[in-house]
Amino acid sequence: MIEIKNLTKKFDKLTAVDSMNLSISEGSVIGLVGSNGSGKSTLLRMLAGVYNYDKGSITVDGEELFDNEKVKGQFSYIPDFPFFYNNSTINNLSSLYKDLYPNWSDELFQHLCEVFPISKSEKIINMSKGMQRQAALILSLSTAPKYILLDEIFDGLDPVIRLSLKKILIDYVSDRNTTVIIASHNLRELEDLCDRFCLMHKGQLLLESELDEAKHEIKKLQIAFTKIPDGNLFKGLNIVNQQVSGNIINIVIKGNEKDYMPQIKALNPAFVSTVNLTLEELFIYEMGAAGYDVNGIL
Amino acid sequence: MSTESFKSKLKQAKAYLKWELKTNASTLISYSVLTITLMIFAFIFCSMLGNSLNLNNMSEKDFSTGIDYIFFSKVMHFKDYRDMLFYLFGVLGNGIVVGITIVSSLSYIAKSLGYLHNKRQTDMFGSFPSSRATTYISKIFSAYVISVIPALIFTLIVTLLSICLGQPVSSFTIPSIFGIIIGAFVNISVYALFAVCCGTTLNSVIMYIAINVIYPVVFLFAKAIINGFTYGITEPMHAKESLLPTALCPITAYNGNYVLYWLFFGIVVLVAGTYLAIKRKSEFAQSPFAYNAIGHIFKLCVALLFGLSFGTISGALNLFSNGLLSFAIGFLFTGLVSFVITHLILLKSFQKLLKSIFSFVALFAIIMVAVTALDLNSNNYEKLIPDIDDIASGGIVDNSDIYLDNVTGSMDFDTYTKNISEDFTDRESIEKIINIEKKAFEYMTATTSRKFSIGIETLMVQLQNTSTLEIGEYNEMYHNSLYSNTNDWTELPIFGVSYKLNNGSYVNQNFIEHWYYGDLTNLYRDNFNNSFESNINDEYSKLTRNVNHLTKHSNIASPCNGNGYFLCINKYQKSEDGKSVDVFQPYAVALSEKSNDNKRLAPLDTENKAIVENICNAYLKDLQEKPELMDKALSLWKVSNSDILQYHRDVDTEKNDYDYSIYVMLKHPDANLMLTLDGRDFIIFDSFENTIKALREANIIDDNNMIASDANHTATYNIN
Repeated sequence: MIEIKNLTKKFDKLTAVDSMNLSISEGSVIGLVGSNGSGKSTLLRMLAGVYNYDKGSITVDGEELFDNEKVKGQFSYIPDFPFFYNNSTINNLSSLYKDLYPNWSDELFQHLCEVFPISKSEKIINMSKGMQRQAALILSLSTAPKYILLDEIFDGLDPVIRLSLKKILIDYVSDRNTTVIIASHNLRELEDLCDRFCLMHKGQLLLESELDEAKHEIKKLQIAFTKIPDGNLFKGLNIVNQQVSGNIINIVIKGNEKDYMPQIKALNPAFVSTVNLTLEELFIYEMGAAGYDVNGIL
Repeated sequence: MSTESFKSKLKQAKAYLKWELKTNASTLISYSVLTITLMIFAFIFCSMLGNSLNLNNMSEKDFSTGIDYIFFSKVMHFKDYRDMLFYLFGVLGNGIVVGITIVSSLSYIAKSLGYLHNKRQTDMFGSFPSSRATTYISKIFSAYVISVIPALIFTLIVTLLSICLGQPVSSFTIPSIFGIIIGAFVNISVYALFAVCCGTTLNSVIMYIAINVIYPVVFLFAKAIINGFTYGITEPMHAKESLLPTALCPITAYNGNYVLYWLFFGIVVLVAGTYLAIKRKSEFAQSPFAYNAIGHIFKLCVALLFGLSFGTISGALNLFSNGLLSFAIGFLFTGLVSFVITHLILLKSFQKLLKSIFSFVALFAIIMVAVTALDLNSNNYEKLIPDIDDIASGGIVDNSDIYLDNVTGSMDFDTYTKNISEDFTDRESIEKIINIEKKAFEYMTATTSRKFSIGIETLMVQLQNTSTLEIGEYNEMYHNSLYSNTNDWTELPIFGVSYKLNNGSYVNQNFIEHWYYGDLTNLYRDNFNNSFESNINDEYSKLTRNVNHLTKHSNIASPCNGNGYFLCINKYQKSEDGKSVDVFQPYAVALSEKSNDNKRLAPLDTENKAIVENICNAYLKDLQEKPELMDKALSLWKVSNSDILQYHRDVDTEKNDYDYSIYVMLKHPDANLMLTLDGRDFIIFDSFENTIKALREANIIDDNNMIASDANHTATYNIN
């Protein structure tokens, strides 16, 4: 279990991660989403032990993470731009990983090499972006990590490989109780994979929730009237977004359906339909609520 | 640390070493091929040189005629040309190995520590399950191993080849091995420290090169200023003979000298680097610096380098009518400009420039306080003289006294000075000595601008010295050689004072000028020596021109001791028209005379030795009997032939009635070679009956005190 307490990381005057508190239990897939520069990659780097933090702590099963080689041995991290030397091949890198990581598995390595169709002896630097990511995945996942940290992992991967990756990750979680933390702007892919997500903005954790729970908490309602009544129709309700189109009102509402639905039905609508939000819509509305929306930018 | 943990770290270190070997395999092969190629070229070069000298047809005899015998056979101990060429191959071979090691170790460590300077590499290595310290030290160790092991193998090859070619394991092989082992360690550690402190490889390399350049140059300038401001008291430091000038110049660790110091230095640097590597913020990869302090220090070092150099030049040239002001303006201007330029080069922006300039201002203030304090204090020489009430006895000698050790013949002015400490016990004489010293100090007092000039002159001499003697072994040879009149420092004592205090301790003060052969600086002569001669010599003479002093300190009292002197009897005889003086040398003998090949000195035979001693003893006896002639008799000390002729004319004008034109001249061969001094000339008067008698017995002059008929006519001087 990873415990993040009051974690703060500053780059000169910029606070990349600001007093973050988070608990990550084992066997979960967590999506880190957020605006550009919100601190997702920085958080991942701190979790990977690359960056030290200015304040707070990260503990893994009670042990401090930073510069702790034993704890770091349980982690596997693929950054947004993995590094390879000019003469690196999967084969020669595998010997380094094998010597460094205590849980390296030759079986897994062989298996992953079969799953990802790339050459083991070709120079990785000459491969395409997607193939380089596959190379990084082969090496990283072969270490049989307890915690997998992935930064923009879907970039450059074709749909088939993306699907394979998602399947592999799910297998890791189910078979090995692995925890996967993925930072990505590809919310569609995350939605398929994550059971939890963390929404970050300006270094702060805006929302941390089970995906289903979040979807349950916020709904999009389409309400049709024969004639829209006058007055403040949704007074007292937590409306995140409201759009009127003729006699139809679309609202995004937070809260329990049992609480707000009687008030809506009291307006005598012709019909009401409830639609679950996608993760992307969740992101947009939550960020909008935090002042980060298209209107605010343009 | 538990055994398990240690084993784990060893495993990680091994993993990194394997990895570095893999990633550097091609580079390693390239350097090896380059080393072998250069060594083959060196061998071919030596062979071609041998062929061009026609080695096969040369004998040992030929050897001595081709190149200076003394240098190559006696100093270098070569048997023949072939021997010399194989030695040359050994030197070149080792030089090539060391040179390649310097370059290769730097390239390995720069590549190995690239993870500190590249964000992607930082992600990779930072996330590996090894501690920062383990990663850092493992990488240093890896770079060290792949630099040093091939170098040692090649050194072994060169040594084996040299042995196979008949060369002994020469004196450069062992230092070369130590040099590679310790030099690579120190330099890799130093680079690694800079790599931790910097955010880019370029800045790390700049810093590494800079420290190797800035420290020795700043040291030279600082030392030059101190020399200039304390001349007459401190001696210029010989660049080769001390650790200090290169103490922070890690590249010199490859010389194989001061092994313990460099080992300690390397360990300290390694520990500091490891500590900083643990504390380092990884996000500073690709930023100019991970620790801004190092950037500040570097900028200040550059400013110090340029500030000191141009400030000193400005002070010496007295550009602003005041030495100190000129120094200050020169330092401020060039220091500031170099500070700003360095800032722009390193940080590539004006950001934080204004803030950091305060550190330069602080540096400027410190330097000015130091130089001003030095300036104020430097002329306060008199405090060096002990209180007269504390002095039990004292003595004084100058450079025309013979300060050669009577037993070994070596020039040991320091030792000799102590011997004079009990010459005078009366208060009056001691006061005279003190007064002489005080007067000497007065002449040493110079303007600030002049002090800077002296500093510059000393620096120039030091630079020549450093560049010439960079090859350590040659330095040793020159030092050990009798013919040390080539490219070397020497010391010329001006005068020395010694006091024995009531508490039994000694105070020795030697006033020494340092100069470089072939480039005699006039700095002391201009300011001191001439003044000393013209103003102090009289008082000095009063104290020392007595038979006691001569007996104790002059070579005439014991001419046959030591390495030997030339003894010449010269006759200066006016021509018939009185317009010129012919110089005859009826008798010239060296206690150690030259051998047939005119190269070496051979012992003097017993007969000549007896003649020399007889003449000198007779002369001393004459001086003792006729003390009123003492001054005239010794008046030609430290003078040249032209001065003798001038004296000849002066005495002629005075129409003195004694024969003044015979001189005994004693010279020490080393002094003659090294110092180009005239030794001593003693005038023989007609009334010096004992000397005349001895000269007649030796058949040097006839009964009419005329020169012997077979005397050599050596020169004619025009006296008009």
